Amino acid sequence: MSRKKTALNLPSLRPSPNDKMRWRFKVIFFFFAVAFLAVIGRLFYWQVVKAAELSEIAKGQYGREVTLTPERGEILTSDSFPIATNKVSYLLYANPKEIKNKKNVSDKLSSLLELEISSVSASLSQDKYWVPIKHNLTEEEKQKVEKLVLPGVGFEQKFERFYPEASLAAQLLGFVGKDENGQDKGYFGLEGYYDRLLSGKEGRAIQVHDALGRPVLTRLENENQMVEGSDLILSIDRPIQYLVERKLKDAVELYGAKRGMVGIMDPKTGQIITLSVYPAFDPKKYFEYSPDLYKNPFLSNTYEPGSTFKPLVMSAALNEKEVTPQTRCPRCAGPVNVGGFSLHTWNDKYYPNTTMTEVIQHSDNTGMVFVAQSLGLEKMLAYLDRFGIGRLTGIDLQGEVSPDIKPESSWYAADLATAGFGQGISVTPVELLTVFSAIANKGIMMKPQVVSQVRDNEGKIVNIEPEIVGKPISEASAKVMTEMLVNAVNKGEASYARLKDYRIAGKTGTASIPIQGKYDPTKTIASFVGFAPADDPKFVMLVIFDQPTNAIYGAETAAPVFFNIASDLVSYYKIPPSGD
Amino acid sequence: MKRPTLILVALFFTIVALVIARSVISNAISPNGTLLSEIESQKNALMKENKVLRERLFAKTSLSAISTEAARLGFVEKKDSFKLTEPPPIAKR
Repeated sequence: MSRKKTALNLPSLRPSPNDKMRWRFKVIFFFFAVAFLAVIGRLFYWQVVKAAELSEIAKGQYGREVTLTPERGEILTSDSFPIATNKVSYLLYANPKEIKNKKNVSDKLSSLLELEISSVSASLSQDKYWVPIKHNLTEEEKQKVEKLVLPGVGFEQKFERFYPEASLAAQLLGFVGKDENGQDKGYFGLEGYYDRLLSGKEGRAIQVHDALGRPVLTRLENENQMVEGSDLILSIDRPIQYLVERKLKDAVELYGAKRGMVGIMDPKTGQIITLSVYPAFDPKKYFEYSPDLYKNPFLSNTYEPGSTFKPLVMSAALNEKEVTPQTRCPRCAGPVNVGGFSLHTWNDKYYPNTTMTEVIQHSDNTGMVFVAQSLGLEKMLAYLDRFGIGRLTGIDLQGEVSPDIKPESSWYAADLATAGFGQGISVTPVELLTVFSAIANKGIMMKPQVVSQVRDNEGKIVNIEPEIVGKPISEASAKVMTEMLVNAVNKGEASYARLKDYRIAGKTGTASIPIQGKYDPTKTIASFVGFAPADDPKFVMLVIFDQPTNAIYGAETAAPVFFNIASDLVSYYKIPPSGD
Repeated sequence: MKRPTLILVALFFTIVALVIARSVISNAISPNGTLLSEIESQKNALMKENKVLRERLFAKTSLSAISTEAARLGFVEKKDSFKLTEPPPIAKR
C-alpha cells in the first residue's frame, strides 16, 4: 500500500506526450515566427527602402523618361509684332564609337559647316558616346548634313532666341544667355526681369511603349506638368521705337556724343512708348559686345540733371505758395554767394528783378537759388520724396538703381542752393521722366511700366493696370508750371527749334559732370524734357546726350532732336495744331 | 431549370460575352498607339514648318527689312508734313 502510495507521489522522469507536443509547437512557432519576420523584413526592404529605385527600374522596363522643355515666351510690341521670339535650331552631335572613318566624316562636316577640321577631328577622336559638333544649325544646314548620310551623326532639336528687328530696343529687351547649369537664362532688361515668367516650367513624362518598343495608347504619363513660357505684350510702339532709334543714331554721330538716349512715356498711364539707347548691341550676338552696353543707362545710370530739374523745384515752391509766376527775384542782378561759393548763371547774363516765369525761360540759376531758399531745406526734401527722387520708380526692367538722398543733417546751405538748379543731386533718367509725367498729368504721378499685358500658354490675357504712385503737386500747380514751361519753349534758348502751331511744354538742361570732386567745363550732359500737347499731353519725352563734343548745350543738341521727334509724333498721333 | 443552375448558366454566358467584348475592343484599339505616334509626328512636323514660316514672315515684315526694301525701290522719307492751321473756307468743305 505504501509502495503504491510512493509511486503515485513521485514526479515522473519521462516526458509526457503533452510535453512533447508543447515543445514541438514551440519549435514550429519559433520557426514560423522567424520566417514571418524575415518575410516582413524583406517586404519592408523592397517596398519601403528600395521602393523608389525599383519604381525607376520598372519605369525603365515599360517606358523611357522624356524631359519636356518649354518654349520661352515671346516679347511683343503694342502692335503684336514679336521683337523677341524663338526659331527652331539644331545641335549637331556625333557618337565617335559608331564612326569608323573619322577622317572622312571630319572632312565632310568641316567643309560643309565651315568648321576647323582640327576641331571636328579632335571631337571625333574622343572616347565618348556623345560629343557636340556644332550648335544652332538652321533647317537648311541640317538638310545638307542629312544628305551626306553619315553614320553616328545626329541632331537634337532646340529653340533659339530670334530677334526679327535685330537690335531694336536691345537694352530694353536684354538677352538670353546660359546659367551655371547650361540652361537658358534671361539677363538684363525684360528678359532678366521677367525670366521666370518667360521661361515657363520644365516637365517630365514617361513615354510608355510595348515589348517591341512601340508607343502604346497610354502615350505619356506626366510626372511633372510642363508649363510653357508666357508672352509679354509691351506698351512699346514699334514704329515710334524704330523712328526714334534712327534719329538718335544720326544725332549721336552728328554731335559726337559718347551716348544718347530717348525715353517717351504716356503720362496718363505711365506706359513707356519708347526707350532707346545708342550705341546698342545685338541681343543675338551679345557676347561680341562690351558688357558696358548691356546695362540700360536710362535706369541704371545716374547723372546730375542740371536745368531739367528746375521745374521740379519750381513746382514745389508753387505748390507751397512760396512763389507765384509773377514773384520777382530780389537777388538776381549778379552772382550769388552761398556758403563761400559764388553761384553764376550758365551764360553769365543776369536779369535783375526777374519774374519766376522768366527764371524758367532764361534757365536762371540765381533765380532758382532764390526759389530753393524760399522753399527751405525741410520742404525741399519733402518734395524730393513726394516726386520719388531717391527711390526706385518700380519700372519693370532689370537693373534699376536709385541714388540715395543724403540725410537732412548732411545738407549745407550751398547744397540746397545748387539743388535748386539741378547740380549736386543725382537722378536716373527714368526718375526725371516720371517727375515730368506728374506735371503733365495734373500732378498725378504714375508708375512707369513697359509690359501692358501678359498672355499665358492657354491664351489667357492678364492686363497690367496703370498704377498711381502719388500726387506730389496739385492740379492747379501743375497747370501753372505747364504754362511756365510752354513760355520757356516759346521764348527760351531753344525756341528756334520749337514746333510752330503746337503748344509744347519743355525745358532744356546742360549739366556739368563732376570728375574727382570738380566740374569739367568741357564735359556736359545735354538734355531736353517736355510734353505735348501741353493742354492734353499724349507723350512726355526726355532726350539726353552724354558728353556731346560738337555742341555742349541742351538747347543746341537735345532740343532740336526733341522737336524733330515731336514733329513726327504729332503726325503719327494725328494731333491737330492748336496755335502757340 | 433549378435556380442555382440558372445562375451558373447566366454567369457563364456573361463571362463569355465579356471575354469576347474584351477581345474585340483590344483588337480594335491595339494599333492606335502606332497611329497616335504617327499623328504626333505629323503634328510636330507641321508645328516645325509653321515655326520656320513664321520666322521667315517676321524677317520679311520687320521695319528694318521694309525700310531697306523701300529705299531700294526708290522711296524717300517725307521731310515735312502738311497741316491746316485754320479751318478750310466753307466753300471748300
